[in-house]
Amino acid sequence: MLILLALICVLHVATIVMLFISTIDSSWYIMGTNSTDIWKKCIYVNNSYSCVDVTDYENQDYLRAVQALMILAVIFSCFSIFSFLVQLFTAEPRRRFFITGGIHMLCCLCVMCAASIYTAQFPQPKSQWTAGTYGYSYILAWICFCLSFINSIIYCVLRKKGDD
Amino acid sequence: FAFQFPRLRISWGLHLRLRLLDQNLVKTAMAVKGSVAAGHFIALFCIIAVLPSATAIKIYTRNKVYGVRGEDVRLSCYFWSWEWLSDDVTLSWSFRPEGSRETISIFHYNNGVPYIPNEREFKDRVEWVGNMGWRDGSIKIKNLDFTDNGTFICEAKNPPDIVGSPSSVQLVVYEKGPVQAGVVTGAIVGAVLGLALLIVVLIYLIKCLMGRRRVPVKDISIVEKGKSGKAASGRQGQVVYASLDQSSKKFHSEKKSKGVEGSKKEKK
Repeated sequence: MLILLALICVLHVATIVMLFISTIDSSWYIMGTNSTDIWKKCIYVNNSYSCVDVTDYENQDYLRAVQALMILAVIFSCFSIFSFLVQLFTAEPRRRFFITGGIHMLCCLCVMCAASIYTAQFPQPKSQWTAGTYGYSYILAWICFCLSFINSIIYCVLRKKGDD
Repeated sequence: FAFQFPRLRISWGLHLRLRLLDQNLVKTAMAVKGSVAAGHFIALFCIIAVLPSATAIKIYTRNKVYGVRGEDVRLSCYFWSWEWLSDDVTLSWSFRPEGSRETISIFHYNNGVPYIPNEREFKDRVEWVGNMGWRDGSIKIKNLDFTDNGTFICEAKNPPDIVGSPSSVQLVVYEKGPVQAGVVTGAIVGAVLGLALLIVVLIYLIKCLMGRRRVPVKDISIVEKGKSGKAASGRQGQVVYASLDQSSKKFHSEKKSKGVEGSKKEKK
């Protein structure tokens, strides 16, 4: 029982860490040494990176949506680990962790939406970025989606140990 | 000097020790006072010694100001002078258009009177909104246009304090006000979180309301299982009775033989 709990906690924390990395690091799309991100574009010029804000895309609305959804995913995953700890110590025995599972499911949905929107809209068909590949932040986002989905299912199924 | 609390020294030599401690404390206090006074003197001396080189007048403006075409913009300029503000204080604003190397003077303040030259480019568009008493030398440019893109330079002199470099602020005029980068994203995040919070509060309220209606049944279950719901059942004693009569079948079907229950029932 304790092993299962530890495993779930570790998985959850790993999901949070990966979400942070995916949101913050500038590697959603890579072309050579240049990378673009949901926050800024970095170009490797003269042995140094010069980054500019991603503000001149045509469909800025989608980019704002991706940013907002990733931030929401991070926030929800942090909320869910707090609520898991709270429920672990204060809930009645033999109760399921529905609240935690629900919040984590929201997080999973947010990541899925963000990654899907990014896949559909970026890179722009006519921009200079079409010749590259998806970077590791993007892959991390999809991994986080899978892990958080599994995690939330487990939370919804798990029961707190009862007194008898 | 180490501070010692008199309270901790409880022994038959308390009196003597307290007196010694008092003396210690007094000495410490005097030493501290002396050092504080010395510090004050040193600080004052430093200020006076350093003063001549620090009497340059300091002018503060923003680095970049964004304006929208057709609207007004306030160019703020604050200055600080070590001298008292004399009547001869002067403040002037000049404008250098973008890509040009010449500056034109658009505002001058002297002897308590603001002078607005009404040049052909800034005709009737400059307004004095500052207050010399507050060392505020701000002006307002009305009805902006794209030709107002450039650098505005604020300069102030307060005789005898006349050393000081002017400060410049760059004005950028947009067709439509630019939305800051994080505003839209932040708005979306805030809205979703607010909605989530609202839903949570609603669910909690609904649970509370439903809980109040179902309290009698809860009390029975608490009494039956022998948990310490004394306060609740004590408060709702009569309700427990009524519900017990109605749901006596349920009570019998439980068949949990615990002595506590029986005694509680008899008490009530």
